[in-house]
Amino acid sequence: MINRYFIIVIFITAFIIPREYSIYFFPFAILYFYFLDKKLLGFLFKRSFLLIVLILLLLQPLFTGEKDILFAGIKLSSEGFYNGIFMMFRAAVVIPSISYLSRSIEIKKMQKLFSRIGIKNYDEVFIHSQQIFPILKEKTKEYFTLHRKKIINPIEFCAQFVAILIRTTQSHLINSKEDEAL
Amino acid sequence: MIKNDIKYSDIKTTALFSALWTAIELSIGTVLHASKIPFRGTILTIIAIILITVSRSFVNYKGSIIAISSVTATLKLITLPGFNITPFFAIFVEGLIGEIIFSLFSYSRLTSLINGSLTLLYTLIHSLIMQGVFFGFGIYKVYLGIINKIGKEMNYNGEISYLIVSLIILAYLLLGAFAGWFGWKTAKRTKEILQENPL
Repeated sequence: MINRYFIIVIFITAFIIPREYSIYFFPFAILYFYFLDKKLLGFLFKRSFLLIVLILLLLQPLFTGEKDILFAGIKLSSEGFYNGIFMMFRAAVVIPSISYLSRSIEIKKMQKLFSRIGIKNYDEVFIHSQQIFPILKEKTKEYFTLHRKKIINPIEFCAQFVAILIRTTQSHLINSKEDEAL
Repeated sequence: MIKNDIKYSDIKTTALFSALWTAIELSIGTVLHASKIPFRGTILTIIAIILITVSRSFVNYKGSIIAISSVTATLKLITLPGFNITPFFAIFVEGLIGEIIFSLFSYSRLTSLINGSLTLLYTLIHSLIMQGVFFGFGIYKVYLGIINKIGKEMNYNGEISYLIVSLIILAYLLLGAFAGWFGWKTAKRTKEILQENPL
């Protein structure tokens, strides 16, 4: 619980901290996440994250800002480079903060929220959706085995599939009513 | 009694589309995520547009799409471990857009195209918003700066970013409209099949 409040503070700070003070904040925040749960920093090695880091640290100083430094014969912008480092560190703190906070969301509270904000029949739809899953799985497997060749005509393929599912749901409805009547 | 029966069958059909959307998110979504191919979100949104359009044809009451999307978002959040708040939010907003479009205007081919376009455009905006939240909103300046610099290297007069961004938006609008049309056509054909062979 204390961790949760602490992470909210870290998250807000990451948003508002000026660049000149960030050096005193971001490394400690990242260390905090490392000791809290190493998995929270797993995204640092993901290709999508590394691609953006590449853009921020290499392309940004190369293409934007005033070129004031020379590195390996290439003119670069120091402003662009420091800006890239700041953005990278910010993401390294904001992403695990959101990740941790989203983990601690209670599903039941979420369900209550949806019901409260007036989403029509949310609870019934939720329960029935879970009940339909096994039937859906069975019908999908059956359809894709028998009608695989129909995929040449995608509209017909999808329409037949949806029609089977709707028919199954309706017959399930009739059967459950008959059971109730008995 | 009859009114209640219709309502109950509507709930069942709404639940069917929620379950179908969840199954797609969990199966195709997982495969796409594992394959690491680009535009995974766009592919899933195209499927979602088709599903939203088809579902509105069968459960045409106000609030049906938002019910489908909120249940799908919750089921996805429950089922998959890890960082799922982004797709949760995306699924919910996709449903919200569909609900607004189909509630303000009646269900037709035109509204299906508009809904498809706007929903897919949202996917583009969603990823940009998330990047802005994570890296700071200055990232947009970086992207535009890089694109413009490349344009100047190619001897393009003016800022090429205007042209590139417009082309990307147009591509998303067209692709979304196509998905909407596909959904509308599929719904129409499904109704024909159900009429040909009623239960």
